[in-house]
Amino acid sequence: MTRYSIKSLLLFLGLLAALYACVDAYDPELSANTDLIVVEGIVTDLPGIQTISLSRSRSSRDSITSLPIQRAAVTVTVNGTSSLRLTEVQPGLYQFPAGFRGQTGSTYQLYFRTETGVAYESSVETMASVPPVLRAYDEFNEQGIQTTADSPPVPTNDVYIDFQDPPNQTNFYLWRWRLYESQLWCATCEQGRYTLVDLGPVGSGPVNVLGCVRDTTLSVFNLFDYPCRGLCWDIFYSTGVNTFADIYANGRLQMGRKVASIPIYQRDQALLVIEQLSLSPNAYRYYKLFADQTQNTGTLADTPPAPTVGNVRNLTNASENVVGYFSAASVAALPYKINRKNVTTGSFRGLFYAVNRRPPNVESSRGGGSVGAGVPSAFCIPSRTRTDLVPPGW
Amino acid sequence: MNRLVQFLLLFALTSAAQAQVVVTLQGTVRDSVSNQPMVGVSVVVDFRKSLTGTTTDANGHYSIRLPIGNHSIVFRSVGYVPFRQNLDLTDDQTTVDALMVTVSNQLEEVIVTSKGFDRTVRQPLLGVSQINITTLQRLPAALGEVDLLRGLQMLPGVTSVGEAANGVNIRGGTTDQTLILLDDTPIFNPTHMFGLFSVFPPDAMNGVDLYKGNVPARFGGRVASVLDVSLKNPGLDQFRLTGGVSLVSNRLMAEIPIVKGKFGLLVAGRGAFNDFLLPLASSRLDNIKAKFGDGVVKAFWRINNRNTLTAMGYVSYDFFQTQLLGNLPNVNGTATQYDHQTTNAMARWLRVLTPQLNLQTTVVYARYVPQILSPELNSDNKVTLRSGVLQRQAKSNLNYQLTNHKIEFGVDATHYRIEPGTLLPGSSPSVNFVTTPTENALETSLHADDEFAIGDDLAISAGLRYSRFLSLGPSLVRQYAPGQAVDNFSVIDSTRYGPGAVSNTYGGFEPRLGIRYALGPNASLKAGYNLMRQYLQVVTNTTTPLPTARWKTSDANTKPQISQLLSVGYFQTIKQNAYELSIEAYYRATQHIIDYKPGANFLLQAYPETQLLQGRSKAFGVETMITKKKGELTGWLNYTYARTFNQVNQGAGVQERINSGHWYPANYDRPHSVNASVSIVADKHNTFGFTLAYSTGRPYTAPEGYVISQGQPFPYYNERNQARLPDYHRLDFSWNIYNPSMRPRHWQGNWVFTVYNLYGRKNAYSVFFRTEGGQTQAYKLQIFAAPILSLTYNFVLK
Repeated sequence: MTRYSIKSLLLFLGLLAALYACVDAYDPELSANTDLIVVEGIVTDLPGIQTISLSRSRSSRDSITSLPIQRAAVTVTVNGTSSLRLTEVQPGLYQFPAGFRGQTGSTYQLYFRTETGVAYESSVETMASVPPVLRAYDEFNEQGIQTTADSPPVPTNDVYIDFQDPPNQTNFYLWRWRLYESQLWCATCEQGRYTLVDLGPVGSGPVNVLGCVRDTTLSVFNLFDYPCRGLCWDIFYSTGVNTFADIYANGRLQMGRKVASIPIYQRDQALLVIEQLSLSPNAYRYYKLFADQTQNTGTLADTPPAPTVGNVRNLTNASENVVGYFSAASVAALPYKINRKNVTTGSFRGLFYAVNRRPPNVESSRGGGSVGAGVPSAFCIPSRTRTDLVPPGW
Repeated sequence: MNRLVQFLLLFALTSAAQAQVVVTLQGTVRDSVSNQPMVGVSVVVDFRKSLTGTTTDANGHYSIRLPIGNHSIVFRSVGYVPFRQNLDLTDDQTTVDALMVTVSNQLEEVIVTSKGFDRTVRQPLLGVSQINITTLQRLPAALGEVDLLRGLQMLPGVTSVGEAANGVNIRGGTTDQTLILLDDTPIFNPTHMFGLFSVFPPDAMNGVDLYKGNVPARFGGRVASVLDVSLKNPGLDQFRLTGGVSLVSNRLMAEIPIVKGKFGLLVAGRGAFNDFLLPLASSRLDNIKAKFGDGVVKAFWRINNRNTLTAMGYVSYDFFQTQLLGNLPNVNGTATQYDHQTTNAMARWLRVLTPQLNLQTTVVYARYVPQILSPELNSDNKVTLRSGVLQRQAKSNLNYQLTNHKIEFGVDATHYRIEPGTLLPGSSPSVNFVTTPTENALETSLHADDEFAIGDDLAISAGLRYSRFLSLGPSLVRQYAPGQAVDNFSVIDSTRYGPGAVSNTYGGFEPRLGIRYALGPNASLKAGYNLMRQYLQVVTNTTTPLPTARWKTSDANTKPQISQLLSVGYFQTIKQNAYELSIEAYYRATQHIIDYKPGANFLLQAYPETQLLQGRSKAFGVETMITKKKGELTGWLNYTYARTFNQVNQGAGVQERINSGHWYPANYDRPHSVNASVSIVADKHNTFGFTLAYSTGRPYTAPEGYVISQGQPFPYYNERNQARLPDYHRLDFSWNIYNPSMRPRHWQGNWVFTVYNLYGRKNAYSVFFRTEGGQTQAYKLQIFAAPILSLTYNFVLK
């Protein structure tokens, strides 16, 4: 018995050091020096506005910058015949004509000419059909994920889906998601106070939102947080690349494909909109290689990285490596409610704490009374990462 | 018979026939304590006058033809005190038996040395290292597991990609370019627990020969080197039980004489099943599961004075689950588990035809089956990817010992059967049965070696091997459009071959030459040349091959690797062999090395040539070593400068060349390395050991810049291996405590306390980049990054 207790102690010393906790941040002192054109855009059959982004990523020893490619002439040729001209709506962001929606079976090819006259063209991409997501379900994972490679794990809800792979064709899939988490805190003021001015009857009439009004009596580092006036949701988007090919599974019912590991910061229910996309074989290869090099690293036997070559090429200089892939994908979306009833253990300090790494700081009362009295609540301002509209499926 | 052998020899330069009265001297060499016959003891006669020698056979028996007259005879074996005798040889059948005393009984230490003692100076072969198992056992071991591969890395010219390397790189060769033999059976995966421990059973090992320079012609099939590990023969006279308990594993070995003096059995086993303790240490270790075991059974039957039969069986098993290994792509699993199993067997018949001539016939069976298991969600089913390598071999060697010649002639036939991968769905409704075509191939060879002396100063080892390789059906062989990239689009035709049909052949001569020129009794100059051909290789695109890496035989679209090595060396012994100094330089050029296209995937790939590129490699280096072999303080210090570069340029496309077709450093290119080992015998009960290892960090591929996509910077890679990991260094310590109560008893025990990585250097095994939270962060992965203490107890019962 004694021997075993000594053994476990020494095993702790030994194997713990050997196999675990062996990742440290590192400064490789690299001198970056690249200037690369980045093309991002997936033509889908979803309703709504569709865009393509063109930018230039420059990295040098001490900076990484992304410059939009402005005033380019951008066209997408559909089925080799009709040509759609895209218009620049934001710097570097080019929008398809209103009402455009991709169609399964159609082909798409991107062409653009920069302001300086350099022309680029993508390969012809065919939009393949995609089967629907049959079912989504989640499991509580106490071990969860590490948000950084050297951080302790955060418990997650792991979301799995089932889908029927169509027979007699090779299918390539990409999943992405967006997550709606309810947010109770809508504004943070730095050296200031959130201010509303009542225009009508106090408390029920229209208000004029001044937002954070600077108050020099407060410290420069003072932060006050204001609760939401109504319902508010923060939106999170998937950042990882999740691909699958049916080469070993053609025509089979796929069960238990993990599409998301959602960190649990609060026990409130959340809504996950899962999007299942169809890819072309080359787009799949590109995304797979990209995923292997950016997220599947740090194993005992990594695949040494290699240049990821996209499908856009310079028409005059074939040796220029253009990053990114212009693809066309049919999308099957499924909203899925994560009710978090299966979260059995753990203490969670809320979304605010998770994002800001501090608890909210409520402004001390204005005009006497208890803390927070007379302090206004804040409006939920819609943006790419926030909405005040109840998400469809909530 | 003499005439026949001479006829068989292709390059016997001198004849042994001399007009002298020649008689046969013979005898048996035994260990002074155990009285067991000793194998491989060198018997040297008249060292100062000419090169005449032999070694003892499996029964400890030797015989040598000598002219009548005065002779001095010396018996030597690493780890034993030399046994010297002067004799006046007069009539026929003179017998000299020897009892050898181990050096540990004399407080004299003999350590890792190039072929032991003055053989370094005398032998015509260079770049041959014989590793003494006692020395290996005294080297500080990680987690207390005596580890051959880690010990080898203390020698010049032997490196690896790091702590979790699944194999060693010898003189610029990839891991699969070293032929690893365990009692003549090939080892396809040399490590347990993914590189952490070697698979060789520590107690049962008898001797290790590493041929990194001259390789005798009897070895073939790999281009860089040969690591020849032999297992102990069972003692025929005395029962003996040895064993040990370390943190990682428990070991037991029994040597059982079944019929005294006639038939004996050796059974050894090692098992590591302690992973159930890991969750006790930390709940974070819940997801790590690891077990391994290996076992040996060896039987030795002395049929009569002229015939012996040896049979050996070896099994090795591993099970490993960790998030530190990648998962099975395109299968929806909840985890990834690795399991691999080796089953090897060998039978050898030695027939002594005359005291000078013996015939050794060996049959070999080796099977290696690695699997990747992917458990499914909410199910007991595991989807399994299984592959397999089966090697069956038969060979026969004729050894002929003349006064001034040592001649060997042999034939060899090897059949390879590679199952590159089969996906077994089990009861899974989601996965199809997928399999890849089995590869069959036959490699045959003829070889001859002659070691002889010309005068007093010059000794030559000349060998020639002819190997022929047949790629066999059933197979479907594609033809690709010449001048185009080999991929699924450039197929112009394909040919189907029936079972046994020859689809392609390769072959050629493999000359081996070693020359020694003595510069006096204590110094010599040597030069060597080798050509070797390799028809079976690992194709992988990971830094070190996974246990599940794919083995591939050469075929119409994958050419065999051919390597030529040129080496020169200077060897000297100082102060009556107390010190030994060596300097060796080499240059190696290899054709048709295997590399891979960016993003290559070999998993279940029916046409791996579409993922492969072939190029060339050059390696060169200088190895210096000084060894102190006698006294209470022994040890060695070596410095190696070594470089390895590859060039891959199959076409103009980005997918067909690497780094624009320029030379680039190999994954294991580590220019400078320094190793030192010191062993101090404090008294009869205590020895201390220190080892120090330093080497330049290995190359890795770092991003050349970053690409911002959706607000996140992602690394952008271009050139391969253009950055280097930080330098590697480490100091280890060991303390051996022997038999605290002095008297020789039936039970002898010793404790070994080791600290691996004494000053806790956080050596990087790899550097990787992750994009997280709006930035790209570099990390280093470290293994054994803290001082690792361990305690082992070993015992002998007899």
